Amino acid sequence: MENLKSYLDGELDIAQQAEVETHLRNDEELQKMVEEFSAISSTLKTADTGEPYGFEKLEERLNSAPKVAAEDKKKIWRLAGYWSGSMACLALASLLLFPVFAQSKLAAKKSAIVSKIRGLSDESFADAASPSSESAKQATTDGRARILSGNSQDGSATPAPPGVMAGKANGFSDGNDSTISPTAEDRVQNGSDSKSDGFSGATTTTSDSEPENMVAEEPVASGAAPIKGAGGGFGGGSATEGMKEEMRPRRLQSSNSQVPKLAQSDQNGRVPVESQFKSEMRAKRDGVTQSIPGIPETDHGIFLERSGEMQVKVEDLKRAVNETTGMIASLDGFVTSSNTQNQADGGEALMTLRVPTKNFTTAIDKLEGMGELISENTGSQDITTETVNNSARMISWADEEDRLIKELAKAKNDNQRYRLKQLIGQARANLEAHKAQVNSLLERAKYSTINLSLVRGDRAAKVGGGSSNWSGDALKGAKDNLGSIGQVLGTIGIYFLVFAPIWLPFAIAAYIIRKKNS
Amino acid sequence: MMLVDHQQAMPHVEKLDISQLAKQHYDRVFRFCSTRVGYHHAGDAAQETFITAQRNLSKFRGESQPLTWLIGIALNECRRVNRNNQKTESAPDFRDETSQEGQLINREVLRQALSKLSEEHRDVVTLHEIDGFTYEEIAQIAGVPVGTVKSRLYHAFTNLRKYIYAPEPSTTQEVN
Repeated sequence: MENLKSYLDGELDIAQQAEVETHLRNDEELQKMVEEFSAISSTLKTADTGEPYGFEKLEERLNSAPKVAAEDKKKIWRLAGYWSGSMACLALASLLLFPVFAQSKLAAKKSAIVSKIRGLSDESFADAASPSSESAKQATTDGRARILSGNSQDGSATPAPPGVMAGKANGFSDGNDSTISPTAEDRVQNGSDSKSDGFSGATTTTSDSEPENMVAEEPVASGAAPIKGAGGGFGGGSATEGMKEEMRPRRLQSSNSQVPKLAQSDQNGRVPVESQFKSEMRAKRDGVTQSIPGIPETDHGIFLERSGEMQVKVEDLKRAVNETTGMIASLDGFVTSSNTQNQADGGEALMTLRVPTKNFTTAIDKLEGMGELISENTGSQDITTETVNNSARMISWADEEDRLIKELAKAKNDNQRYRLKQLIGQARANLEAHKAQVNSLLERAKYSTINLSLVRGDRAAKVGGGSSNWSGDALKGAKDNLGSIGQVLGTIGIYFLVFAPIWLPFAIAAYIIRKKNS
Repeated sequence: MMLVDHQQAMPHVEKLDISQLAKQHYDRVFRFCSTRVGYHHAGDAAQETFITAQRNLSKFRGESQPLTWLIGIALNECRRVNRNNQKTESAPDFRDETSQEGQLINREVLRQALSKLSEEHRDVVTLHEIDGFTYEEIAQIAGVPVGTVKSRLYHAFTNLRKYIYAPEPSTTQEVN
């Protein structure tokens, strides 16, 4: 009978009221309950709450309360919100733009450094290389022997490493060259007509005609022995002659292996030592010419080694391999290796292709057209510095060898001949070493390498669809992303810290207002 | 004198003046507080009720009567005061009068019976019997349906009856 209390309070409608009254007439216990409820209710209504007090104090408090209306507070919060939003947008924009800005700044810095290096390089070439070039030209054209005295002036007879490009000249040689090599100015001086030979203590005078005479007397091609040795030690006069005969063919043989063809014998039957190659290298170094026959280069005389990696999905693996071989051959290239795995569910052919650098782009384009390109990655490496540096050293060692041979022809005793032979061997070893490096570099610049992967069937889907080591890749990716997130959070933290003078006063004001209100 | 324009939020509500509200309803709010925190703390509780109302005038949506809204604030304020004073809600004092039926109920017994009620039951009893609020108003103050108010009131009276007229320990189990 939950309606009983409602009945006493008059909260029931007529029907409910009649129902309760029906129950009341027949139930004495219910009647008693009504009486007791009424008594309790009547007694409760006599509650003495006392006379109210404190209204005056309330009025004072209300009037002295902060005159900040709710609307004003809303405005403050709105303003704070706008500021916070603006700061957040600013921080976000900074975050987004910072990489671009940093990249452009880095690029500008890099460009400035490159320009500076180029400027230094040009200046060094102008200072150091031109005189050498001039003398080199003379040496190759009129046969004038340029004497590289180096340390021979002090009588130590240590062959000075040529170092045309060394030290201050080009800036990319090692430090040893700058300390033991004669500077460009020294070389110019040493290239003068009158010089002490450092062995005999006597002054050797080299005139315009003398080298020619020497060359004419050299028994390289004719086999004659115009220079008579002093005898003894090494078999007398024949010692020098034999030594020269021993030397020339080797040098010619090695010279023929150069990529740039060497000059033919001159009218006296003498083949100039590395003459054409040397002159070309000197010209290249001095900026006289912009290209060297057989050597691929791009703008500004840069040697580039190009390479590429490609994955192509094909329908017929065998046919694709054959087509690739034919196409590469038509571009004057060749296949250095080929490995084909043809299985029922698919297959893959790995090929290493070498094509002339000038046809590199054409080869890439044609390979792309052979099927569905899955991936492609091409790049190039600048090997100009290495090439020019090694070629310059090679030229200088060749000059040194020439000089030593001439010294040998004029040797007065066996001790001198023995010492000179040692030096010549040393110079030749260095010459061959640099020559081999130049050949290797030129070969790299002449031919580009393409690593081609032809895939078919399920193998192609696998290659295109993802890695088999998905868990490892996922873990690595997660780690990378975690690091990135950490970086981003750190960056945001730094930005908030830096911008604290802007947002912190608002935050403090908001905190104070909030605390005051509460 | 601070006025808050509620016409945008509740077009049917006039501008509320907290001072005017205080003049109109302070006595009832005070009595309400007196039955819950005692006469000595009632003044502070009533004042804090209006100060809180002043700060939250903008939150008043006009969905109930201002007095109902104020009593809701006062209810929370009284709980806070009792919590700070580390005591349970006190029962009101009663004048020494006989009931309408001439049946006298011992005032102390009634006070003890009230104090034995749960907070929810005691609230509806005092709101209805002492403060004179209707079922609908109590429902708005307590934030419960009217049916719940009726049910709570019936069970509260059933328990009071047991405490007063059958005070044996075995019969003092409160009915919810």
